[in-house]
Amino acid sequence: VDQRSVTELARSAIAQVAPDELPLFEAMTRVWFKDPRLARVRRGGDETLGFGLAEVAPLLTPIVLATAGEIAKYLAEELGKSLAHMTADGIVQRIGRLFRREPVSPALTQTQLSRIHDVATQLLQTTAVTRDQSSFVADALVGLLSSPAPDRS
Amino acid sequence: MTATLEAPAGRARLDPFAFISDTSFRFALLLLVVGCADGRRWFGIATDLSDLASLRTCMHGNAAWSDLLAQSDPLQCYRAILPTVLFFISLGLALLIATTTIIYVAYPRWQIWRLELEPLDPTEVPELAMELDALCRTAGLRRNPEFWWNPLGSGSPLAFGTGRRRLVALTGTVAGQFYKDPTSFRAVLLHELAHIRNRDVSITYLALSIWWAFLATGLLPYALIDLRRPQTALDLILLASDLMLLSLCVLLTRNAVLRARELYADARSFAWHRDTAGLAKVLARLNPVPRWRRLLSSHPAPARRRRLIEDTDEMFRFGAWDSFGVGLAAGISGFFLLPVTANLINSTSGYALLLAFGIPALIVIPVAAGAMAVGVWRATFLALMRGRRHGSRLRTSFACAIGAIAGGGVQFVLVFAIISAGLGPASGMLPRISASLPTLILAGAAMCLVFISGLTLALIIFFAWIGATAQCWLGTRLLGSRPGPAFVLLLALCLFVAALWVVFVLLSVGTVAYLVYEERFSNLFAIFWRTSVVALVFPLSLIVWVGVVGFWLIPLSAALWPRRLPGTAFWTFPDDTADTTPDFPIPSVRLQRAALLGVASGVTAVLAAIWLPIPLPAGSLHGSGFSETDVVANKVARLLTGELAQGLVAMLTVLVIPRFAVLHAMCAAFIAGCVFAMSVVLYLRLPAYGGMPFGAAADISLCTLLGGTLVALAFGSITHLLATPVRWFLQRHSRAYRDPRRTVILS
Repeated sequence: VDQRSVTELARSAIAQVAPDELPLFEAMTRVWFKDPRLARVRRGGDETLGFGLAEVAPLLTPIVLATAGEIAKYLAEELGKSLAHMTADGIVQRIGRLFRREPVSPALTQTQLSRIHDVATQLLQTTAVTRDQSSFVADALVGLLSSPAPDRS
Repeated sequence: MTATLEAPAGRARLDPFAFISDTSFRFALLLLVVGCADGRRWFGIATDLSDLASLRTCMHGNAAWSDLLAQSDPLQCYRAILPTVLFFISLGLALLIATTTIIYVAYPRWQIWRLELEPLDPTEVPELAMELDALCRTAGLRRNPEFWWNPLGSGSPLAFGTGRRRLVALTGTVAGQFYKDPTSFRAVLLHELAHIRNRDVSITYLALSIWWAFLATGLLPYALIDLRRPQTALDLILLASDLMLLSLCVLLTRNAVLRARELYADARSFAWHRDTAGLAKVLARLNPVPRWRRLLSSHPAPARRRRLIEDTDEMFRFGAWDSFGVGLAAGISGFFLLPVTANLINSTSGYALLLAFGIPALIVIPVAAGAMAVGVWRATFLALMRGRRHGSRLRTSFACAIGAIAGGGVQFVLVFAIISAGLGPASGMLPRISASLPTLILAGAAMCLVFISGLTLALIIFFAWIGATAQCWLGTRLLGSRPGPAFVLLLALCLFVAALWVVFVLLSVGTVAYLVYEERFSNLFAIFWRTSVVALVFPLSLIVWVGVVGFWLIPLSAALWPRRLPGTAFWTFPDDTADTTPDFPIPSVRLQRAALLGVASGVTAVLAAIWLPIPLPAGSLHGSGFSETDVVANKVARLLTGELAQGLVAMLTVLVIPRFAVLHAMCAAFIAGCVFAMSVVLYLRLPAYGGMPFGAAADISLCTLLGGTLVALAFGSITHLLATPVRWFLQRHSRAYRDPRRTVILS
């Protein structure tokens, strides 16, 4: 799946779950795609010399980007099985349209959406976000994938 | 710089930058401690790698001190390993400096690599870049630092860099705060910019670099080399305790530097905030520092930082723990330098021993005394500003003395006792003392107690003197505007005079010990007179006279300077409004009164010497160098009358001028002594009385003047000690004494 589609889905999710991060979204996305490892996100500053504030809430943008990537991988496998007649390029294009929230036919099934929720939650629980935040982000992602964007025209 | 903080309950927030920041002095202490600790470890490496068998043979195995001293000087045995020791100490220090430099230079690159930083592009985050620019203007920086960031990183921002290049590292979480919680963002960023404004970034990274360099080039090689040979349990305990003690002391000193810099950055940056309530909320989220970790933490306790919003008074206090830290650093350094200089001098003669003690004292004391003097100066200022008495000098002095012993004395005594008892890996390297280990340890503990008592007393005097100097000078126009160089110069002069006094006291003690133990003198007059002769021998004479005169002249000469104009105080944070700080009660210096008393008493002393000399039998002159005849005894009695008169004028001055009593007393006694000394020269030069050459007459009068000044110091101090409780009682219980014209602030 192309970066643009993953970025689109992540941006839409961030707009719902952490709108404060939108002004930094471009910069974070650029750095994320250079080296997409969650371990990088956890790396902190030097607290011996820092201000000494208690750790603030983690950034959601890289976590959402990672989750979107993981969902793309799952969908590629899943759609590869259910749409065996389609070429790989066709599947990628289809996932891209899903991520960009363009109308696709047939839409994702309830089972697939439920599985996507599980995949997202599993990944989110390995990060520094709380359980509530995990469900919030997973719900947002599933919600975005299940409903096409309103007609932009 | 705009300060909008309201002074709570009408109190102005005092500006800690009005004086030298104690970050600099703590850093100087760190350098001293690390240098000495590193040297100590390389001293250990040198002895480990030396031919100890020959040393043991030279020391006759475990021979007793008495046997060894009867045959040779034990220090001569160490001469064989001296080149090795010097080589290794130099090598260790060179390695330490080189490694520190490498780490320091590499630190910024390492931070950039470790935090995966990239330059912040203003076109990518224009709002953030504009805010950063505005913050730099608020901080009054001449040149904006380079902002680097890791958009995905978390954690606090960081000011770093070397030389003139300053960088600030941001993380995604901090940048996010700009949009989510701007107050928090401003607080954190202004704090980092305050580090740049305070110019403590280099100090910080040097402190960190020197710590790592010390671990790598000091402790690690020693541990590896020492562990090569077979170890007993006692050896391992000694090794572990030594390494732990040294690393703990260095770490404590390093973190004291880091804590001080944080407080100064807070004090500076809090003055730039407009929204103090918001700032207080941000500070409520500071990471707690458990009580037991406060000395080991690189951050001050959050409560202490929060209090700085309203009140910076705490930054002016010089408490027992501060004093203990200084003592600890001085102890580590002193007890390392002592054996090294003793080995270098390699002689057990009286003056060699004096040098062995004097050289470490001259290296360690200026730094340690400087740190303490700044602390005392600030504490005195606070006491005057708030109309309170200063903290307990006894407690502070005692804490410093305990620190000095803990820093090296205890271990020194323990190791000495173990080796002297013929135990441990270094057994045989010192002559054996025929006593059990517990007895030796008890004797060592007793020596430590004597040392602590003596040092405590000396420090009380030093603190009182620095406090008095601060009180005298704070009201002058010299320090009326931002003190800067004037304050530094004054402080340097104080330290110089204090160092001269240390040398003077050591000289006097050494001379008396020499006269009593080597020359077998028992006549008190002879000992006193011969000790006064140091006033004549250059350069000792210079040390003595500058010390004696500087003692009273430095504080009291403030009276010659114009007084500060009201409303020109420098000690609150400058802001848009006029300084509303009330002038504190500047105590008066009575230099003229003391001088008049001195002249009058000098004339009286001359008359007393002519008409009422004290009786002195000829036998009293035995051993003094004078002929034991009645005529000479009569002349010496007149000299002693002059000295006694100086003591009496000192007592009188203490009673007449209660403020800075001892200083005024010394001034009056010195002037009286000068009048008397000039009369002595004239008298001795008269042909009718032998027409003594000018040089010889001047020598006699100078000895008399020095002796009289010392008598005055003793008499004046004793009178002051006795008079203080009486005055305190009268102030409490006598309405007449409490008359404002007679009000005395007891010091």
